[in-house]
Amino acid sequence: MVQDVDHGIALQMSAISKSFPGVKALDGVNLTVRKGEVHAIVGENGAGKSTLMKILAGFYHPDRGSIEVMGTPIGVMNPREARDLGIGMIYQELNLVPDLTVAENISLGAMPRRGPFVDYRSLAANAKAVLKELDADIDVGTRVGNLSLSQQQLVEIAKVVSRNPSIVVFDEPTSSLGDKETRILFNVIKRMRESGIAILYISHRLQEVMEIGDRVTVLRDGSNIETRDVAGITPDEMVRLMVGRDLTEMFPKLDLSIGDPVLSVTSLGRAHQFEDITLDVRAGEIVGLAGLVGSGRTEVARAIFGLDPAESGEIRVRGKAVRIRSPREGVSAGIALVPEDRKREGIVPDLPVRENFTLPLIGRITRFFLILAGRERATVQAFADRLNLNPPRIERPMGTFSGGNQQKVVLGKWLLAKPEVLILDEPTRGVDVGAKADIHRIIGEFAESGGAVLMISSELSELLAVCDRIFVLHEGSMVAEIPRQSATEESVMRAATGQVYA
Amino acid sequence: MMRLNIGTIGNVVVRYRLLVMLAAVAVFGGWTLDDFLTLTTLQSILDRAAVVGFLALGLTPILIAGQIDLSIGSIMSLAAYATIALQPDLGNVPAAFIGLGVGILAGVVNALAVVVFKVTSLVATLATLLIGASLALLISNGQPASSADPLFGLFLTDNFLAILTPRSVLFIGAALLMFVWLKGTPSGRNLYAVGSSMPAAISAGINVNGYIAGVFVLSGFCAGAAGVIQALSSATGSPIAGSVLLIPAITAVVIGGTRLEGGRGSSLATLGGVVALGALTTLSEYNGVPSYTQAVYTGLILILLITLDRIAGGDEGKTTRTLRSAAVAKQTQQGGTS
Repeated sequence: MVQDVDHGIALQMSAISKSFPGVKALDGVNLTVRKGEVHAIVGENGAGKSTLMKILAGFYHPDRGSIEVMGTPIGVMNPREARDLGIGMIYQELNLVPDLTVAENISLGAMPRRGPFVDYRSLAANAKAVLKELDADIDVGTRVGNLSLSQQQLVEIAKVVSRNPSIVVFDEPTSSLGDKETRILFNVIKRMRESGIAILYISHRLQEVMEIGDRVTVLRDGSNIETRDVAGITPDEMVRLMVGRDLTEMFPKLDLSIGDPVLSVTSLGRAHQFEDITLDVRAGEIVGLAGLVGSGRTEVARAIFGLDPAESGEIRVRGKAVRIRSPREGVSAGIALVPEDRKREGIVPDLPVRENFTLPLIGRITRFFLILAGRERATVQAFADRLNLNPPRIERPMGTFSGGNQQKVVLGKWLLAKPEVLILDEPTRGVDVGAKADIHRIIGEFAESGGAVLMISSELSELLAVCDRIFVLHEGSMVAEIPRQSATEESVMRAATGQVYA
Repeated sequence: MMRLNIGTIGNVVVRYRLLVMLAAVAVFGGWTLDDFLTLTTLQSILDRAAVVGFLALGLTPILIAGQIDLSIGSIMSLAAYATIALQPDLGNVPAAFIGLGVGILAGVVNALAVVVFKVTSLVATLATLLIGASLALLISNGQPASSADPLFGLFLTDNFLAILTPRSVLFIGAALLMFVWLKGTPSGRNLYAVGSSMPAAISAGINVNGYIAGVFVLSGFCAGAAGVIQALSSATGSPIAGSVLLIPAITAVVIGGTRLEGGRGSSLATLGGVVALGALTTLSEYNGVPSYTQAVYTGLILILLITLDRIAGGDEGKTTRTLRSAAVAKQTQQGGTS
């Protein structure tokens, strides 16, 4: 429970309903958030979390229901009014101007002035004060574009905190952070909580909810199912409430017969990123690639596929040495990569699902240079159904689907291209539990058919559950190869943090 | 409710923009002029659309790929001059092929600048616009070349099936051919992916640089064709033949509905845009409206269409996507160095 701060109600949302054409997004949702608490909101994609938060931020108006902020009833409000009421939002996507300094970004829209000019002295002073409050060590004169993602997020938080908010919403704040950065973020959130700010914390990562949350509200299909103290709930219970059924095994592991090596990488290197990387993946095997953010795991994956080609070393596919200097050569060598940055590199948001699906292999569905539209549609529809695409509308633009369904299509397009090796970089990041199970099933089926899988994930529990072996990287070097039997969270973390693996 | 109505009307107007424009021209023309609604008028509109039409066609894949080519007017001038000036030495037909070759060559230069030297297409083709325009004037000493055989190209504007002429047949045929390429073949399909999301196209193993180089060469070829057709049908090789046609060509493509930001567009839409704009011009001329007045309402139509396009719900989320990619690009970059 919360400590010695004022336990008054910061936010009261009562019987909120909101419909969009054809969809009832929210149906009588109640939410009470106290001052100085971290209130987690969990639910599958489409459960209504985003809609609820967009109502709170003034982007949508509820069809029914009432909102009280600090005891004052709020009528219809726009985003600016919501901000002025002390509601701050921190989204997954940062909203910073890369070419301005930290101090300028923090005061953007409310620059201190002296006459007609910007008062740079108090601008810097304000920024320093806020960052000190957050215990963040960032030079306020730095261009934001030169900061790391984690530092940028701190600047974003500082921007919100500088307006003295009473309620701050974090929407999947850790989805692109590593463990170390997540620690820093949690310390900042704890400080905000101590100063009496009410915090709404949205995350798919239930472990984080357990760690940082005081209370948790579970949404399912637009209704609030339950609000509980985090102290009295387990992640399994949360999952059960979220999906409305028991997921006995979140990561079902198939026992497969392991065949010959499909992918063999020897002494792979790329200046300033990684060196002397040797690994192999055999048929039917799922191999994990673990490491902290910045350990080079993503770079190794991109090098094998040809996105940022390796400068030294050798890659063999089914024993045959291949030269891979571009994704095109990677594809023709039988390698597929599901990239980390799904929205940027994985999907083409404006094109329909069908065209996203066939992007790498459209050249094979032709006769006399012309695309066979009927066969394309049938193939894609059948595959989309197999992947449980929801909604199963293959003519809708890819950008209108949820993250989990976008990821299914990214996976599906490569499976349709029938690669030998499937490399997955954070395949389930920001994806809800239902879609996650689907994705794991798809990966398992690919391995079952004799494919080789190399998988990167920041979620250790996922790697431990899914992988037959785990390679661990630390600062660009391979430090450990751990078989399934002896892999534990501790053994992997010790290797990843550079402590010698025994 | 109010907003919904405007959105719905906007949707209809945007979707059938070309028909709406043509209908408006027809109604207004029929009302103000006795002899406007005739096959001859239609033939004249289509015939005159051919030259700017080739420029606009070349521009269409360029815009779909998310690029721009400002040099097409200059390329056309060079091609037009070459086509006529080389006639005495090479003969009529070879000179015309040289005109086309000039276009292709200029397209290759643009492609090199954009793909190999990594100059943004806006800057690269601004440079070749300036260079090409001066080059044409230098070579010609600022004088147009007149054909020694003025009857050779005359057939291009002959009557053909009452509403067509050979050069409008060429233009319409090229637009149809391009439509089949863009919508029906894998390379056309890939071009949309390149313009819509270059990183995703690269990750799918598409040779993005090849496509970008290709559309510049194609655009150069089309500008060359516009120059050859214009020069032959007027029997004059003017070194400034294309200098005023860049803006009408861009306007026609955009009115047709091809998006400047890439990823969306069609050659049939361009065909329609060129014809609609041509109809408007013809109507103005028949009514004796000066050309500078026409430019005013062309500009207004452009703003109106783009505004309606937004209201009808085309472009939301474009900005957030850019910000998101910037943040994640930073992350990828940082992951590599730390």
